[in-house]
Amino acid sequence: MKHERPTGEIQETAALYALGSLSQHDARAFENHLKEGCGVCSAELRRFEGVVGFLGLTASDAEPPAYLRELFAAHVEHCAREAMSRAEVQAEKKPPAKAAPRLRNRLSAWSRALSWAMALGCAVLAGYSYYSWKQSEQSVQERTTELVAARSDAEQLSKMLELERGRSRELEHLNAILERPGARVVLLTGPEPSSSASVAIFWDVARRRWVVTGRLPKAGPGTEYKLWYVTRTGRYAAGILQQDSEGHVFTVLEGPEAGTEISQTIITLEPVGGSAQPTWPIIASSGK
Amino acid sequence: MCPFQESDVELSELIQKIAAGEAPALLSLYDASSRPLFGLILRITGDRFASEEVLVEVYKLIESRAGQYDAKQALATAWVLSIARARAVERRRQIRRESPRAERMETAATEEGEGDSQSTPGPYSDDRKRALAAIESLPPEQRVAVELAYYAGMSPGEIAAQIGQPRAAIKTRIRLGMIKLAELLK
Repeated sequence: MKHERPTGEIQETAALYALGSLSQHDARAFENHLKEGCGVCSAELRRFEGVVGFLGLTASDAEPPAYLRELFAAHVEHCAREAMSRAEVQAEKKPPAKAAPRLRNRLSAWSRALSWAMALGCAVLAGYSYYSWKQSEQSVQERTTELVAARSDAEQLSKMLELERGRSRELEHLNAILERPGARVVLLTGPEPSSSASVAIFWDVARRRWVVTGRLPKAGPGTEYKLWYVTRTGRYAAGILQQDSEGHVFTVLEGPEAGTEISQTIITLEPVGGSAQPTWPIIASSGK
Repeated sequence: MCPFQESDVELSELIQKIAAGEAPALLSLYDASSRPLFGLILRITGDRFASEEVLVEVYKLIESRAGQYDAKQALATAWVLSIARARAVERRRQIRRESPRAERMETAATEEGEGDSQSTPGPYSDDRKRALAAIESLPPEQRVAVELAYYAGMSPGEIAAQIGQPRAAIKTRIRLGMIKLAELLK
């Protein structure tokens, strides 16, 4: 039902919706009503959305830390480099000339025909080979399958054993640090509640040793995780984090000097080879 | 005539450049808007560390949504402030869920937080004066209701429970407050 004029109820609903203060149920109902094309409600909502947009100016300015700007500057530089390399790749892919389109079409047709003929030949050959092999090797196949399965089981058991040994060594490291006087633990989590990133730094302050352990999303090809710490004087690289094929992270790094006041620790995804400054994105971070 | 158009043109152009893939425009936008956005986020979350993370997320959102921005539908200042406010309120709720101590922040949300007590004159100084004059002209009960809804992201029911007033009265106060603000900020 479309409204003809704004009532108190309409204004109330539009104002609360603009503020994000309606219940989910009422918000969905209002959205459905807007979809029906009610001009009165749309106009009221636009009016209040404008108010909500500017209420933010009633908060005082605050200076964000300088490292954030440098983070953006690095991101912008990275994007510009990527755009340039994309443009170069596209330029290389371009055909050299427009001349002789008929010849190119003819060559292209021949090339297509040839590739189809080759594919057909391969398929016939593969079919024949498969038939022969199946006839002669059926019994051998059964034994091979059993052997492969047994070998796979043995390999899996060996991997599990090695994993357990690794975890045990890690726990020894962590226990040794936790028993040290003044030991600290710094927790880093991903920016989103749903993030799977969860890392802890076990800090042996006296010996300047950081043992970093936890789980991070698997780093893509050509990238690696890097740990940074932020102080009043700047951002410093703590080191590259080693990650196994399951996403588990365990790395021993040299920690900062005793007495260093760290305001934040962050983990970023960097191209392999390293970056002098953290770039993008922040995968996990922590306060003090 | 909208009182906010003077500083809005620059911001609108920067958003359009970001949408066109001009990466340096993101840094210019950061320089032009990070102080008011960080002040807003800090006031909503009440947590400096969380605010730094939210500020980064907000610019990532602006970068990814720049193509959706329509200068005919919304002023650029309102658009970026709305993104920052929405994300900051979300983080504030997350902090509340994870730490019961954060409950105390509900009342703090209507007060100034860690922001600069004397904001330096910037591209938004005139706009800010108008916005402050508008909110300060509201009767106290309307102002508290609007500010709790805006800064704490509270529903009328939550505000009613917080200040011990009937829910229907809170809804009316928000409606009247928002109508008056809309008239003053026309």
